[in-house]
Amino acid sequence: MTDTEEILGVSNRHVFEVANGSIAFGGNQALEAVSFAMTKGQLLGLIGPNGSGKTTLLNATSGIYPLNTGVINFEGRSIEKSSPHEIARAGIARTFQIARIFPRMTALENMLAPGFTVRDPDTEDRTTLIHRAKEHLEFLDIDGFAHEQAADLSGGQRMLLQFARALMLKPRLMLLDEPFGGIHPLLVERILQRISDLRSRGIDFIVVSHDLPTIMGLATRIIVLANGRLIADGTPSEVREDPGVIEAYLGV
Amino acid sequence: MDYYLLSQLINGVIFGLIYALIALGLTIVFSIMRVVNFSHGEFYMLGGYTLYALTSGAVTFFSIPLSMPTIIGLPIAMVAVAIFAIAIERGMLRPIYTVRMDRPEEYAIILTFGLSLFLQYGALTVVGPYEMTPGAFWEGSKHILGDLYLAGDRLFATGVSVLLIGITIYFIYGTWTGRALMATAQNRVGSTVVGINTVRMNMIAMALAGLLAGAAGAAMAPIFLVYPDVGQIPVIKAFVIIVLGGMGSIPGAVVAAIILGIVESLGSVYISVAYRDVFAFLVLIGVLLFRPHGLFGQKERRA
Repeated sequence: MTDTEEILGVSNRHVFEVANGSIAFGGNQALEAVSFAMTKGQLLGLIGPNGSGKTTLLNATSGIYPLNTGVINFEGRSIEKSSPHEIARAGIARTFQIARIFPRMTALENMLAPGFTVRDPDTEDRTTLIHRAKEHLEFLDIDGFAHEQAADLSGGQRMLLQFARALMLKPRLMLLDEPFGGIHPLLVERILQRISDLRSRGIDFIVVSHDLPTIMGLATRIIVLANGRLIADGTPSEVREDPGVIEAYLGV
Repeated sequence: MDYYLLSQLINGVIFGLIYALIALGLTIVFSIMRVVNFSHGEFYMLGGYTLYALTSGAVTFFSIPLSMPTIIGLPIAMVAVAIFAIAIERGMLRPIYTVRMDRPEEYAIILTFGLSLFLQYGALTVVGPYEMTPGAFWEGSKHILGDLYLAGDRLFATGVSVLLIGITIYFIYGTWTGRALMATAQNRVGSTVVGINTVRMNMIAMALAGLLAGAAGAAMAPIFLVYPDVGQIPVIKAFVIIVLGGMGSIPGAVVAAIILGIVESLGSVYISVAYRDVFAFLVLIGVLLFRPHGLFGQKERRA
């Protein structure tokens, strides 16, 4: 860290930061004092056994289950009290393990459903919005299904559709929950390629995955959760060697 | 040409359109908010009373009796009921989706059911059990063709229904806000993470329900008069209609409402008028037996 950065303080360097985040559901402590910070350009892999709090952490970040205590900062603004749509409009997009698409709309209509709320009224009208929606569908190679009902799409196509739909927000941070779960290896390759394309355009990622080889290869940094606590934080090779991580995965 | 049969068919369609107006609000609130609004019939009642209060001269405002023309009273009654509906959404229903609670559906049922009783008995206490008659929208009976005559007020109510159903369908399917409403109905969490303010969508749904029920109540007031439980029978039919049409389906509700109107009308003539309000339930039982997801409802693949 340089002197200037030290004077400016950490929050300016960190594009995204969770400090002491805790959530309890009834008596179950789903997240316990989780803290980490992310700098621009990182791809954070979030791993841990089932029930370790990975999805809860994404839900807290996107405002679905607000933190009981703690702080979440995004680009220097605290967002832990904001509602999900405000967080989405602020630039944090999100996908789910089971794609939350709109089943009785076509793929293109899915893209446009939030159109009015996500567009910039000065620069985007109906035509440019539809154009952008088609571009995103093309980017993920599902433009052929633009006029299919979303309910008729396969699991993999639904996953790609919610990915494309998230891009409508022009996000700067994307939270992906199990983007490779139950998906054909060729499709996984395509998603990996797209993630890398988007990173080169300046989008940061937090990716939750159980697919350890894939996430270890993809992430620049890995965070390990177990029972709601952060037990390791480092590069993939550091985390792979960590005795606490090995115990959490194999000892349970 | 059998003008008697024709007039009964037309009457059926007219009633069907009015039922559709009531059912639309109910189905919109159900699909957006997942709230079964048992007080919807009282929105209808309030529409009728508001029209009466504004137009009859029986109510004074700074010692000036209010006796505006009914045609002006109608839109004011709609807006008044919509404001009331928004107040209910803000004040009473909002905890269902902003506070994490154990049984939101049950809370909503008990709340709207209680509200329904409160409003009915409130009206009974404030204005009494008497039937009140607002002035006509379009007086007298109108010659259509041959021996066919229809009451002006029924034609007026039909026109209001067609207009408002058309506007509602355009609003839902043809505007950005309508798309956002549909998205909210189809996946609430999915909508909120793409930037749709679902709390605002709830408010819009309730306002729409208030506008439509208020319009129906006011438009029907000169025909069926106004009394505290005037909303009960229409709202029961609206429930039948949204099950018949498929919960949450807007075209389904309109088609089902017209079918129900015709069945009732012909049933009253050819079977017995005493069973008029029973036909709805016979149709309901039939649909539940043979097509439980409704005429337009879709069986969903649930993940």
